[in-house]
Amino acid sequence: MSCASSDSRRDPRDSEPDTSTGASNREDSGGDRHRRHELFHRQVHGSELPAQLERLAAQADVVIEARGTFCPEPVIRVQSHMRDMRAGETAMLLADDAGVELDIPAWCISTRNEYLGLLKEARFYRVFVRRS
Amino acid sequence: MSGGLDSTLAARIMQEQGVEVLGLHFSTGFCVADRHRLIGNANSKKPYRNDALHAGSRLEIPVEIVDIKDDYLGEVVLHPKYGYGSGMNPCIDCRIFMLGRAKKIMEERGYHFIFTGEVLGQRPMSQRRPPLQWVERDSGLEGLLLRPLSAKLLLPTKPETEGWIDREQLYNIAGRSRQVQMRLAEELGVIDYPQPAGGCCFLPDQNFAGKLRDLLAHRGNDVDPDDMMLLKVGRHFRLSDDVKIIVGRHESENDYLERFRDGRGSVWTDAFSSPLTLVEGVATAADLELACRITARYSAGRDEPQVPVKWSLGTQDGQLLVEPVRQDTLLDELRI
Repeated sequence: MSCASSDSRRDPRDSEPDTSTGASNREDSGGDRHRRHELFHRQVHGSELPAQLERLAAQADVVIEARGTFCPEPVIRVQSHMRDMRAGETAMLLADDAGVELDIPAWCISTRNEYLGLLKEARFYRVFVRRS
Repeated sequence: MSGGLDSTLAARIMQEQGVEVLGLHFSTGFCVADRHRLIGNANSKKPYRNDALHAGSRLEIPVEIVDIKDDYLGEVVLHPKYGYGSGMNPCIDCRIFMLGRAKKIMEERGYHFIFTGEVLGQRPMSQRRPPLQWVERDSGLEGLLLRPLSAKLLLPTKPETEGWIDREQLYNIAGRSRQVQMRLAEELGVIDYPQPAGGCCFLPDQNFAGKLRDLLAHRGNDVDPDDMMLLKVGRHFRLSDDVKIIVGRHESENDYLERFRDGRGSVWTDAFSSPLTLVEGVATAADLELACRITARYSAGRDEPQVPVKWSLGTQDGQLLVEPVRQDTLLDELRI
């Protein structure tokens, strides 16, 4: 179920790729396709490279411990911490549930936060998210 | 928002009308999909994912997970005003509880109404016309609860009468078939939704309901969410009024049971590939021996004359040499 607001209207088509140049989705240029592919890749696989994530690990503004918990608990903990964080701050989630590999990127896309990527350790994950 | 076909479609229909949507996904602790994510599903090669989050990402609407596990057990599962369905499923009370929580969030955040993916006549307990009305009334959402998929078959709600929503653009879907919804999904570009499978809750499941009834019969209301988590896995055997054992069925279940070892007894054998067995309650020597024999039965040493089985109960531990249980009738008698 969902809450809905009638006066803060947002046309979902706003989020579709800009075709104002006259190019249709089917006929868009290689550049448009490349940009969309790159955006998709960043959203799903993270926007930072592993080396940058390693550096972020030492600098994360918030560390969220969720090892030993099962999905959706890690997402609930990220969601809860992000409410108190400022835009631009980063969180590092520690979790050992494989569900975070798909659920955190999906949560970031849905809530428009930035998924930075994850590092797989032997027995857990370090997952990085930036508050938008 | 479960992320299934109906709730995803409902959200898409609201988007089509230019409405700002916040998806709420309630985590009750009884979700079948959660269990598959935890332990894996031998019949499925699908990757782990939360369907509600996935639907939110496809539709680009924020989805918030609302954790209701702690209150849900006591306030809904154990004491349902409207009773249970075919299993231990208090579907009407469940809807009332969730919508009550949604109403609170709606009011706190300044949203104007609630909508759901409910379809008139789709589910025998909660989606008949009277229960839909009870749910609206008891959740305090009179006039503010819109069901876009069946709206034209129901009384107009405030969003429709006030002109926030165009009723003409809503639907008159009823019944159990999903054919209309699947066609509509194609029209509205809703793709990659989970196959409609009749709900994602353990509570209507007869096997699960049997285990829950047994637990409540022996423990009263002295149960917690961990007890519920354990009902989802393993073979359950009641050895006595006080003692129950849970025997892992495969490696994933053993790994899962491992996390619940603290505060419980455990039984296993190192001599063969073996289940992990958890022991709940104060076991007598006879209970312990039977737990060891059952564990041996489900180990790779089941055909051996005797199997060395290790046990740990509180601060004590040891090993018993036992004959694996041979009689299926005994297991059937003890199985919950």
